[in-house]
Amino acid sequence: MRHGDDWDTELCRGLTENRAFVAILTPLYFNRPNCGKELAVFLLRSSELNIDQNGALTGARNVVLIRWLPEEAYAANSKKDAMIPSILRRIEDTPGDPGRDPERTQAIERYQKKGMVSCVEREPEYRELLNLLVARILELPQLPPSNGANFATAEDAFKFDWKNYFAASGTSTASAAPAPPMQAVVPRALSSVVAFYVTHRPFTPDPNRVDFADQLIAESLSGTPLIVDQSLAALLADVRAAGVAEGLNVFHAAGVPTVPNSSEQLLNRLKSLSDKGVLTVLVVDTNVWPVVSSTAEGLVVEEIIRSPNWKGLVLLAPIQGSSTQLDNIAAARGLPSRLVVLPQKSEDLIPALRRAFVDVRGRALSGSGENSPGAERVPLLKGVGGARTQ
Amino acid sequence: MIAPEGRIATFYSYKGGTGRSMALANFAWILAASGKRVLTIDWDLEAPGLHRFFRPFLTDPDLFETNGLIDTFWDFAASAMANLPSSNDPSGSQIAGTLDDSKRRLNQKFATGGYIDFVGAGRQGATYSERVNTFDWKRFYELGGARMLTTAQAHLRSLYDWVLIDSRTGVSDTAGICTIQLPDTVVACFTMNRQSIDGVDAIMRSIRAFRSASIDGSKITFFPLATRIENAESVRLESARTYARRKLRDILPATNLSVDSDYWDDMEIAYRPWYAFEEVLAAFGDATGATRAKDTMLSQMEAMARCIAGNNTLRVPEVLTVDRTEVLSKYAFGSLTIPGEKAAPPAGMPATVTTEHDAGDTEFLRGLIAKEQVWRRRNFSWRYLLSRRELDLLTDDDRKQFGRNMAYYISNSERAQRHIRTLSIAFVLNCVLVLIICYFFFVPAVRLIEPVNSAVIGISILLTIPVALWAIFGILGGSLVNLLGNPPYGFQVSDSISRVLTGQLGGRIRDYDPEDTPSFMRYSSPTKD
Repeated sequence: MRHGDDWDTELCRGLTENRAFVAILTPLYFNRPNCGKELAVFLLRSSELNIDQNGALTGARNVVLIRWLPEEAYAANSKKDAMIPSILRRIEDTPGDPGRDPERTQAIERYQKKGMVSCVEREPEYRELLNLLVARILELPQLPPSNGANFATAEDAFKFDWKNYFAASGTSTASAAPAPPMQAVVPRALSSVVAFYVTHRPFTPDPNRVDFADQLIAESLSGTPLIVDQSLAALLADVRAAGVAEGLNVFHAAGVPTVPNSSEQLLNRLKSLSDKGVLTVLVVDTNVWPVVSSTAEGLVVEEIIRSPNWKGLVLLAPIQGSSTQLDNIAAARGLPSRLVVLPQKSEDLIPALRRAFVDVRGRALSGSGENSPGAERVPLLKGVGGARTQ
Repeated sequence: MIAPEGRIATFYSYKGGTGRSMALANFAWILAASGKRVLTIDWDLEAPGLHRFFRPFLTDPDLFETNGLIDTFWDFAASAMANLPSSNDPSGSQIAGTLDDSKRRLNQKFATGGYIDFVGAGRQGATYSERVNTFDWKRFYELGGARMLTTAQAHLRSLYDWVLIDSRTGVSDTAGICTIQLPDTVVACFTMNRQSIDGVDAIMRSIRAFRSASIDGSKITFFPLATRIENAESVRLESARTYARRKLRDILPATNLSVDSDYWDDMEIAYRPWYAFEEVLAAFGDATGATRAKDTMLSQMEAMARCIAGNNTLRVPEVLTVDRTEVLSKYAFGSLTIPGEKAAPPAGMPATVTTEHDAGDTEFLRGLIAKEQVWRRRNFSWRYLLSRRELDLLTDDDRKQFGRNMAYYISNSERAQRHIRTLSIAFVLNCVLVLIICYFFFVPAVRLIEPVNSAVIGISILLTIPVALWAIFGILGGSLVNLLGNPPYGFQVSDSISRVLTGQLGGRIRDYDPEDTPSFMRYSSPTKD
């Protein structure tokens, strides 16, 4: 498009006439109404378009998806690719690999793990991937042009009720085999963060069960409305964004009850994760601690903060209404140096979380202190003071 | 063909600000220009800066999006911890993969097929310092770090001719790893003050002691390099110099240099204020054709590179003024111009007259410079000199633009043209002479013999004698022309002889064709166009 072009007209013309639709997937893409509209206009050109019982579109023709970010960016809690809306689940986002060319296999593996963004600067992977992409687009059959589209009235593909649409139009639900279940993700040493939230705020538990926490907190993904406290939802999103920026997989965990009555269970959870080298943080709502510290809840939280048995940090989230004297309280009570007060401004929050995660990762890596006798040591140079010369 | 093992050289200095990264970057450039595969690693994690020198050639010059060494180490630690306790011995391919993530090839195509890969210190940004400072090197070694480094070392040696590591200063743990564990060569930069000299001396002795005691006693070579030499205080400089040379005498490398002072002639880098303000490669900061060419940063870097690599033919490739201006403008301050020239040259200066219609010319001149590098790379074989057509196309203005390397190359090419012409004449003379001799002496002689002996002998004599004569005259003529004429550098007596014997069949000088480079020189590079 050139300067001065009318975007809406030009876009509509492209969407109704062009052969292929290339969508570059980022978590933000799914929340943008205009992106959803563009996709919907194009999708509706496929005559075989249908939906399966899991809500994934089938027969979507000539739509090519590109995973731009590393795989962590699309994972939510314990499920891989949970961020990607269900309608897109059955649309190809990875080039097929006949397995004949090791260089190509390597490029595709890299793309799947690290996303296109990390391939862009790399030869020959990028060329290989582009070639595959171009070949795929060239192979696509022509789509009949659709008659006209209007952005003002177009539906957002991510919000649109596709099931109803197909039910209304009389087409039966596709009876093809259901899409394969999403792969589970488990916390791994140094590359996953498990954040335990201690709060009274309401949230929707994630339906997937895990063995390292009583429950997981579901994030508000596109198209799935959740009953959740707005500020908690914002915090969850920021925690994930910070984790992804540091290449970490984030799990939002909580105990039952969310604010524990006794420290034992939560401490055991934290300890066993720390022992495995998984990064752990405890996100404490300031309404729970230290504001009303004399309560039983407050004492339990404080016990966990004092415990030397786990290695992570405690993040104090002044989700609304901050108390500025948190530092003083920590100093006055002689608490260990694991308290981090998160800033309120959202632009400061993600950097603060990133620093905290890197700090936790450092704690998770650092040795237990006892040196095993056979272990190799870092070779150390001796400076001028090392040996006295005659 | 089995590739020879690459060398790993660490550039170290006891104190900062000695021009260590600068020496490394220039060394890498010179090696790559001579056709070597070079990997440069910025191991100065606490104060990374090597990428500044490569700024114009990196797609992400500030490394905000590019993972680096520290990210590689974190990746390794994560996989090592995930595998604990069953196995902490990651395979070589895994290390290769994690290192691969952070490698970037510089956008610079060397005609000789050499290249520079660069591994930065780490992705720059909000949490870089935390990522560096929270990495527990002790724990890294407990997790099998030493083995990981050994594997990586072997892997890199097989991939590259040279691996250059920019080390941390002082006695930090990372400095220990990259000076003791990894290299076979340590280039120790120091400035002319007591702390710096004593520091470097102590460190090198400590490396030697550590290596002979623990790590397989393998050889390690030290190259002390005096930097930031400032001539203003000549008396004090002289005493510092004497002190440094005495102190460092017995750790100098055992090269064929007979006297220490010969070594130090090559290994002193003067302080040049122009270079102090911005990290610029000498290949672009200095013109190779500058007057007093012996006294520039560039020539000193060349001397250093020749000394460390033990290769006397290393040269920095020349750069056209257009290209130089373009590269200089990409360095950070953005206002750099060629030193000595006034900023923003007015219309009419050579740097600005280049307009579109010259684009073909520029391409042609770049080709000639590339051909010169190939000539050097192919041991000065005369086949890679300039062809007659190329010499004809070269205008006087073009010649003025070139520096000493190209001047030498052109003069050799001209000599080659003259020499080859002389040899062609000798070839014709040789043929004529043999024909005459055969006609007047041997043909009648054979006729006399023929009735007496069999025809077989006659015919064999008839064939052998001219060939023998031809060979004798050819050898004599070729040697004579080679001796009396002015053959180009690299033109052997055997070349002359074979040309007198075979004439044009002995091959000719072709025009430069970038597509036609021999396969070992070809490589795909992520160049912008």
